[in-house]
Amino acid sequence: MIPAGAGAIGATVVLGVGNPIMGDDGVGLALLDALREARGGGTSDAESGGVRVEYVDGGTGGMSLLPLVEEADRLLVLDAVAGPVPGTVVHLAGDQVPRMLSTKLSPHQVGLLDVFAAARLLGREPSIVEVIGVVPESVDLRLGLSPAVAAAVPEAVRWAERLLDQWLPAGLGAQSHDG
Amino acid sequence: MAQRVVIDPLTRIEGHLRIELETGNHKIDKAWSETTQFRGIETIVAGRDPRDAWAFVQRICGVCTSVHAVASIVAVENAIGSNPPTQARLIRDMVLASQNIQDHVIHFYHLHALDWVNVPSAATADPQKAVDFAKAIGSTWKGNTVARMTEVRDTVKGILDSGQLTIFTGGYWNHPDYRLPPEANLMAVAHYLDALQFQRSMIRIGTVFGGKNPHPNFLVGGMACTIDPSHSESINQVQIDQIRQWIAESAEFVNDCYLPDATAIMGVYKDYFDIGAAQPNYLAVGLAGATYAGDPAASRLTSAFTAVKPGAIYDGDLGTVHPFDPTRIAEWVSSAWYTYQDGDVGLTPDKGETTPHYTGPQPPYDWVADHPQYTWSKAPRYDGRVVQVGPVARVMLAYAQGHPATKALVDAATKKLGITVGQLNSTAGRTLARALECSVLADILARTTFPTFVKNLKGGDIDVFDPSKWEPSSWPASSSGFSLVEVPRGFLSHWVSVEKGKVARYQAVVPTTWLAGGRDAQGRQGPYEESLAGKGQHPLADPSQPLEPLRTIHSFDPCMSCAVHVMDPEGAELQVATS
Repeated sequence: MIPAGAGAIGATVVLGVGNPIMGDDGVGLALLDALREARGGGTSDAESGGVRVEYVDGGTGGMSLLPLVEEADRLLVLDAVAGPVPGTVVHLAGDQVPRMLSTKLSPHQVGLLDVFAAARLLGREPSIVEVIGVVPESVDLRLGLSPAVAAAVPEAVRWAERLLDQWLPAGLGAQSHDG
Repeated sequence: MAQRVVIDPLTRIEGHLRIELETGNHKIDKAWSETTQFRGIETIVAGRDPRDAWAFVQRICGVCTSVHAVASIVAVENAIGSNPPTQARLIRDMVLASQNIQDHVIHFYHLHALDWVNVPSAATADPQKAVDFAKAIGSTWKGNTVARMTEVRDTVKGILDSGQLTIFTGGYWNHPDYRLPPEANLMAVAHYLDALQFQRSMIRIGTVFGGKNPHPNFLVGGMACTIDPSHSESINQVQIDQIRQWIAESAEFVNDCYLPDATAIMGVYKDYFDIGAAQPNYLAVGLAGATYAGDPAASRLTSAFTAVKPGAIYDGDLGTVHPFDPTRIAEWVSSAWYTYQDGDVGLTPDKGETTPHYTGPQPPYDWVADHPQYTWSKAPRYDGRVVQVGPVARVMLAYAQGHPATKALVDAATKKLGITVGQLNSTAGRTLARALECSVLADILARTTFPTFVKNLKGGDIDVFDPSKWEPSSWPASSSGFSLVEVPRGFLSHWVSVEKGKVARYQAVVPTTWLAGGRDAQGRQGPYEESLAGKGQHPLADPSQPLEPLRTIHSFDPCMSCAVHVMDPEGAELQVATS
């Protein structure tokens, strides 16, 4: 058992965030489950070549996610992202990520950007951070996704798979277990 | 695909707090504490297997997942008659203690310190003076070196020069009431960064016992981790040694860094020991981490150490501890958007109803408090009284019962600062009490809880699960139970009824509800409201920079992001500060 947060340097971390009891806010975790399933299950892919992909349910944790962010070399965040059309799949990279996260920021509200900022202050942040997400329809106290958002999950997972395959050394990424 | 998108963490923390204030003459006249998000956790778990409830209810709060998980499994164990073994209970105690220590440290440095510490000022400090200041306040932290202070000063400078304050964006850095000299600000920022590093050790304790973090695994009847000193797949000698090290590190940080910082910084803002008092009634079931399955008077299952007994203190009288009686807890909905079948009566949680009835304005709105109902938070009362829960309540209770470790720390701190024990009921006092409690807690974890666990282990006790009540066929046809747990923000209770193997009713009374709730049937304010408007003397120099009320609200460690709206009686000009 390798506890999350005790990952090797160079780890690729897939971090699902959101709250599954708040309707579509749970889409990041639904994506995490579906992606994990598509990659053969388990909390991490045991990759050869010294590359390991870890799947982490970050829930709504704030600063407690810091060790993960510090230790990730490449970080893929799965989340609900705001937008005009519910069910739209969104991919963000580069400086789109901090811009997206910087809204509603304040010194007393610990969000994902605070965690990234803290990692930067400590001199340890991922070399790559990208986000794949789905635009939510409703974020209310209930379990399960709205139909439009649920329907977008397979496409978002395909995007995430493509991205992971690009990140991993040739020949290591194709570990799908279809059916 | 260049689309502007937002991740909104506001919807994810436990609810959403809004404070409305009316002010005049730089003082707060009236205050309303408003929880603007409906939470109906019971609707989520009704009809489910009670052994699964913890996995859902741990999502009540984004930050304190493990405390809700433990409260849930203990309530279910109480209902079905399960008996988790001693080692499992000790593991829970260690998970709760490490979460509590981490939570207090994070609260002080990362959620509250910036109310008192001016970050940009640190860039102008002399690193040598920062080391001298640390020494002068009794901080023996190993990070107090000129090299380290220089490094941090340069980091802050770099951030300022880049124009990207990141986590420090949005502070009221020009507010005239930042009083620390630059070297103290630099020391505090350095310790802010050290605290970020430190919390890793704490998190890891929960990770080892829970298998992962966030959301460690828990189990009705015990714990899901096997212990076998000679096996690599279970909790073994290597991990035990690691945990010993992490616990030692945590005690070192709390005693060498956090407690001296909190004492010194609150000392600079000494008038805040006379600001922000709430009702001097305190309720706690023991020290932080104290856990009971059912009524403490008859509880078979408790946390391993219950040195401080459950009780209540009324009207600030530390000479009398009233015995705790869970039947005296009741919740009113006078100011909340709920209806009860029998009208506005106080309902005990085992009979609790959660029927939403929103009568407030349609968002987006400017002002809510014109309505008699203005919040999603019920108003819990104990023995008919408004009570404070949390570190200050636990410290008062421990002090009143003569708990030696607590008493020694409180006496030393109050003497040093020249304040009375009663003045811990204040903005600065609540913040200091949290640090004092953290020191006691780290000490108990290092000297008592963990050594007891290891001693039992050496004696061959590796049992962490009671299988006898796992199968629903072994349960009564209908049963109910509850748990009482002291968690970072105060007294938490979960209440469950089980019918034919499924959850029939579920209620969670969380600490922040005790504190953030609104007015009751008699018009008595909740503690947040009282702390801001109780005496009509709470300062608010500049309505556009409501730093003073933020200090007071943050001293309670609210588990909600909050928006403060300020209205002056002259007109409807609103200022908004999210925090």
